[in-house]
Amino acid sequence: MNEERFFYIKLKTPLSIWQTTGILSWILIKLTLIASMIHQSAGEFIYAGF
Amino acid sequence: MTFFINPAFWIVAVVVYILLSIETSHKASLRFGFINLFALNVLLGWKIALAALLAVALFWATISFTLKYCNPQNRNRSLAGFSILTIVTVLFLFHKMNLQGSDWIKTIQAIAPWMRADLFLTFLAGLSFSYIFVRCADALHCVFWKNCPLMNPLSLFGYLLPFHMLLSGPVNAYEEHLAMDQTTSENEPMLDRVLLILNAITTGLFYKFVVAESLRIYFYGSNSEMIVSGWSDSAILAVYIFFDFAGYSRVARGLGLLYRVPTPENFSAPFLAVSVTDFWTRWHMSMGQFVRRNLFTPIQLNLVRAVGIKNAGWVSLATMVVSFGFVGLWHRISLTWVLWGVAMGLLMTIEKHIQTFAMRKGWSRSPWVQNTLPWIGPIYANAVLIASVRFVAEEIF
Amino acid sequence: MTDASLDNDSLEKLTGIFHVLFNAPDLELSDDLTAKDVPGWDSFNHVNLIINIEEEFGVRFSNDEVGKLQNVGNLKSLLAGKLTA
Repeated sequence: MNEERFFYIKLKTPLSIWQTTGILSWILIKLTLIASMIHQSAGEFIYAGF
Repeated sequence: MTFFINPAFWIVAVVVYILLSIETSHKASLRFGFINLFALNVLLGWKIALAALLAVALFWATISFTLKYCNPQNRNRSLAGFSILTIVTVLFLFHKMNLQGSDWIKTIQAIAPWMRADLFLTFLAGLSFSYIFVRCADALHCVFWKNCPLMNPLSLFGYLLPFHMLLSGPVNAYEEHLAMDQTTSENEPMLDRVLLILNAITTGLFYKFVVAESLRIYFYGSNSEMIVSGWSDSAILAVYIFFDFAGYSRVARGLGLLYRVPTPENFSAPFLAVSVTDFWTRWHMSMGQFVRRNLFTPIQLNLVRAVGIKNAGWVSLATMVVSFGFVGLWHRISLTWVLWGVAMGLLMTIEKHIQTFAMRKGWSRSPWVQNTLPWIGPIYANAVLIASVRFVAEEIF
Repeated sequence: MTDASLDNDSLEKLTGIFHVLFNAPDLELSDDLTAKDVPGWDSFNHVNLIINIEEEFGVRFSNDEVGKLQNVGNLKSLLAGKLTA
């Protein structure tokens, strides 16, 4: 499996403290937006139950 | 189908990760198969999980019994492989014909009430049988024609019904799942790896629940259906499907990377494709790879051997039409989808002839082509995508 | 896959097939060369490549062998194994 391509950004591990903080903040922003959208979302996937 | 916004799913996902982290002497595929059974038991209920396990055990026993009596050189081996594939295909057709509530089902129930055809169809639909079908076909191809070993029943259960790929794929490869027993975990910082995977999983959820749903709500309102009545609707639907399907696929692949269970990539910037052929190597990639492995390469190879390499171009027309006809039928058993598949096959054959001609003339190396194609190519490929979405729009949902 | 290596004549013939099929006279067949590195090496031309090699060398590849080829190094050693068998 080509993991580097999956992560899109090529980060050299171990991550620096700034990179870790940046990624964690980005994850939290996404989770907040997802939580705010979930109650008005259909939640179903088009290809689900194929 | 609110799988990913169900807290139970995420609790199970974390428990599976913890259980898989416990080192044991057992093979990785066996451990995943066993833990996957636990996951399906919690998510779908013990009756469905047990029925699915019994169905996989029956599939395994049939293959195992057949292999025992047919050695690799035996012609009957191919026949036996085709017979099992035919049975699975009949089940697939039964599933795809959307018979729930139809007169057919009422007739079957009247003749053989013990069959519980209604329950059986619900069972197949609940497990997204179309994905299980292609995995079964891949496993049969590998075992009967490529001489791959047959997994034990629990590993096979983990391959055919992985809980994180159950709803919408991707289509994982039998050989890759077999190989997970040979791979050793790399020496890399665990916390960093988990953080990067969590970043990818949340991006997947962001694609679906923020980007795709915002698009839908903005253009159609929160409670309206997505109706395609013009070209702009087709374009919106194409973008919506991308963020919906790619979002799902990203979450599934992220979980697969977390568990070290082979879970293929499904999308790679499809809107940047420079041709329809290129588009199909970037959109639902795992299905494209399945078709290449199991249909295109074996059919094309045998046909070209039969008619000679000079006719390879014309033979590819038949192979492409068959391959994409299958993809069309996999989506839905209908004339619209068959025509869609045939049209895609035809278009890609034409593209192939143009590409071969350009290559022979040396045009493909000209700077003008190399500079222009990345701009004109995506316009053409996306125009075809929008036209094809409009053509099948009524039968997408 | 076997560890047998291809003699110079066979390697020249194999290189010639690549040059004609992909219209790339400067292409060098390094072991780690893959389909992604050669413009035009798609699944259609992969089949043509296999058939050309079969006809040129008088060998036959199984579907299994064709599917498992990862790079030119694999192809060379598979072909060498067939020629020495």
